[in-house]
Amino acid sequence: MAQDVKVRAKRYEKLDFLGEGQFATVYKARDRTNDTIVAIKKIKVGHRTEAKDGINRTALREIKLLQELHHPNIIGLLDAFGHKSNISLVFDFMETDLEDLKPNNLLLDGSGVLKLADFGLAKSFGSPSRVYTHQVVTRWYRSPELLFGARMYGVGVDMWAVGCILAELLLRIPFMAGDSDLDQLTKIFEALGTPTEETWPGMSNLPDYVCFKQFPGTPLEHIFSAAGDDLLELLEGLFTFNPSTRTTATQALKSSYFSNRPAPTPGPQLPRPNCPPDALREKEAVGHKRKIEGLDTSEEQPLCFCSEAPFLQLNCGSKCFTESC
Amino acid sequence: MDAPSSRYPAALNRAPGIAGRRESCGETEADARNTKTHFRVCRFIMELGVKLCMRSVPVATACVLYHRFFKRASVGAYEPYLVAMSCVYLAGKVEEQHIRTRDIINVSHRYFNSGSCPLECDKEFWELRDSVVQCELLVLRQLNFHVSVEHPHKYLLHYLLSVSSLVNRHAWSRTPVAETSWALLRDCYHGDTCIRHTPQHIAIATLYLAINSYGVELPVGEKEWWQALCDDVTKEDIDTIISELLQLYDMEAKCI
Repeated sequence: MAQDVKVRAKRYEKLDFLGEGQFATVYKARDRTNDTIVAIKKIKVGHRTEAKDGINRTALREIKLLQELHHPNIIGLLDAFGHKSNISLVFDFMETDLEDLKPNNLLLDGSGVLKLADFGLAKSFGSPSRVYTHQVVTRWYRSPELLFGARMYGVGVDMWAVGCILAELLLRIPFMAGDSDLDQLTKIFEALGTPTEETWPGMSNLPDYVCFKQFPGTPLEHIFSAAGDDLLELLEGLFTFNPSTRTTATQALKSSYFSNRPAPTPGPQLPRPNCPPDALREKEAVGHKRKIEGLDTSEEQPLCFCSEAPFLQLNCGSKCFTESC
Repeated sequence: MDAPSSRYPAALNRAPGIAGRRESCGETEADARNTKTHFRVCRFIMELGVKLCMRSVPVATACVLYHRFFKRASVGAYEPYLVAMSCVYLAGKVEEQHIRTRDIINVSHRYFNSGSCPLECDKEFWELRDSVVQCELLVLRQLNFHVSVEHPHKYLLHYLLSVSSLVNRHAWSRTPVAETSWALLRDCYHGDTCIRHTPQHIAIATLYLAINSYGVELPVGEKEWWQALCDDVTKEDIDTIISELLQLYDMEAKCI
């Protein structure tokens, strides 16, 4: 078996250093068995005290969930191997950079397909009334119920994060960037108005509830001045304070924003980092016809390159929101 | 290592070619010894589970990890009780019921030295702790990090609810079918039955044995009740699992 481990470690040839996060270092590598490029995430053993606890629970959760999840929009775990106390995870290589639900964890592959990455903090979702920790989701994408310390929460926290990501795509800067949990709540209430027991029943019973100043909030059409009514309606639904009436993923997908013209740009035609727009246009000429629910999307609106942040622009597809365009 | 099916004559009915030959010479001595060792070690895992207040599923996962490990590795090469301690530790992480190494070590120490004082926090303790943690990584590597387990428990619960609705309520309350099938299920983890059959089949077989033991009568329909609950199970599958279970109870008598 020891030999097996050596063979497996030799299977990957380290090519490049890609990045470093709090829990892991990521390398670009070549899989010698099939000559494909992969990303290897080497989990940091951490402090001596941590190493003494054996495999990091967060890493184990990530491995377990990724082994069970197979979805075109979820990053594929190809292999996992360990040597001494090191754990390395082998992933499909993504062209955008690697690291909960926030833009950093949304990656695009070579054909422009969106992939979710980093399931380190995900737990399998059991009964909706299960008690979970409230220290989840990077603060800026954290829903008000989590910030108020709710231990019983559901998919609503992810929909709030989706709203924040969508808002960030429109603004090209994080929508509500708080520097502490209290500051985060202040930012949320300043933007959206302070909720009341009427708009969010049960709010004041949450463990960490504190009474906030009554902010009137800013109408969304003033914040997202270039967004159409359909998009504003979607944002309104995602930023609902009461988690039980917040828009669900199914409801969001049915919203008119996703069926109104212009249709989204097909993945392969999306601009990518280090890929000039002309090359993409040529690719486009080859012809990618795609149908979404009977809607012919082959008549694309021209792509609009108005952003310095290519990643965010990618996600906007052909829709253009800023007034400068 | 031999194919696991060589241990259980009943399982061999499925592969008559090999079965004939093996059955004539019976289980090899080494196989029988290994089965006994694993039975004892799993009994140890379950006792740890009770003393550490673990839920049924993490205990079951610990047993499955243990059996998966020794399906690939030889008992001679690794200390089975150490592997068991690491499997308990790992199962706690896998099933989100974290257990401290210190507790595992203290309870194990008491298991092997009944009536003795807990270990001092000395060199021996720290070495033991290092071994448990190192062995956890060994288990992970040996299993290629495949640590997710689907257990029969949830299926059994579901089948029990379905079956109870078919039976006279009073007759059902007089017979402990639910308790018995649950106990049979827990006991089956003493052997490698848990890694050789699908969770659905194991759940059906334990329920079948409990129902038949108490002579509970189920209404006769176009299909047998177990076919109605699980469409890919055969009578042969059920018989195989039951025969493995009965061998385990036979083993219990030999392992006192």
